[in-house]
Amino acid sequence: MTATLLAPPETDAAMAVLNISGLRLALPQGEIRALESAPGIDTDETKPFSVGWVNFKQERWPVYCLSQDLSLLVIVPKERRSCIVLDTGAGYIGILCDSLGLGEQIVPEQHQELPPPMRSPETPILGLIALNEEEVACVSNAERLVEHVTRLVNL
Amino acid sequence: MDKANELRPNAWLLDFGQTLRAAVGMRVLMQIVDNPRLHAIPRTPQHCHSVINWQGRLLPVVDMAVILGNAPQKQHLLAVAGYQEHPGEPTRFGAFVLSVPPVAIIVGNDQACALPDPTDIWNKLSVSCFGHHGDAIPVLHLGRIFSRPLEQ
Repeated sequence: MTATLLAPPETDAAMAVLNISGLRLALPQGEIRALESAPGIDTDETKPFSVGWVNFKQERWPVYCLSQDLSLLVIVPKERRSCIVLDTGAGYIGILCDSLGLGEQIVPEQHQELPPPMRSPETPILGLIALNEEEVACVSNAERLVEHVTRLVNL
Repeated sequence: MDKANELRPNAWLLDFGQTLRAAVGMRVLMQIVDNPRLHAIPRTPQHCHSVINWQGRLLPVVDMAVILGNAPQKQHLLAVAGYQEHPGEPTRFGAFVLSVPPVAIIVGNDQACALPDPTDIWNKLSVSCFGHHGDAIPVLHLGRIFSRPLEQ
């Protein structure tokens, strides 16, 4: 099965919000290259720390499974039903999530930078969004998320 | 200063557990939040790994006990603090984990004393220190705690 290309978002501000075991992770929607369902992932002969392969642009690319605290998991929780495809610059990777909300319009007042005492070279989180009274989304982007996964794989 | 003002509390004593205490000015403390709804932010430092949604703002929650090398406190009580980096600038906010509710105290200029251990950390995070019932109590520099990463 080949991953499905995403239509370009209507605005540059459109965000995709991934749900990873309760963690809400917001990415610019335009940076998600494609979507695949978890059952469409090929799990044969996986790369170290990856959980399978996703087919995209006539090639297969490694898929990674992150936990709620953005550690790598090698056993996939049953809740992970979707896979997003991100551009690494030299290819692509897939990242599993439980669900994905597309086209979230974030007004500037909702978005704030990550507070200074929370910043760390190890975090891919760039900012925060109060989605409502009860929910907070962490903002990242494809570049930072790819860097984070690469760092974990190479540890 | 007249006698009446001298007798009014002018600082809050904050208790971070494990005999760790510090103080802030009376007008710094905005609210005490009991059993706060905290949001964990992944891959952030252990001393500041969650935020609270306070009046529409997401505030960093700092555990001074961890900064001082001790075990984390239970996050059931928070003090929201407001401060200005420079006069005339907008007020900024942050929150501290507390072990017990803060206590209003009276501090006089004649109580100044040296910082307690670990002095290297308190040097970075406090503006002054005073003696209170035999203990040295640092006065927190909120800008250094909430407006920049700890390593700087």
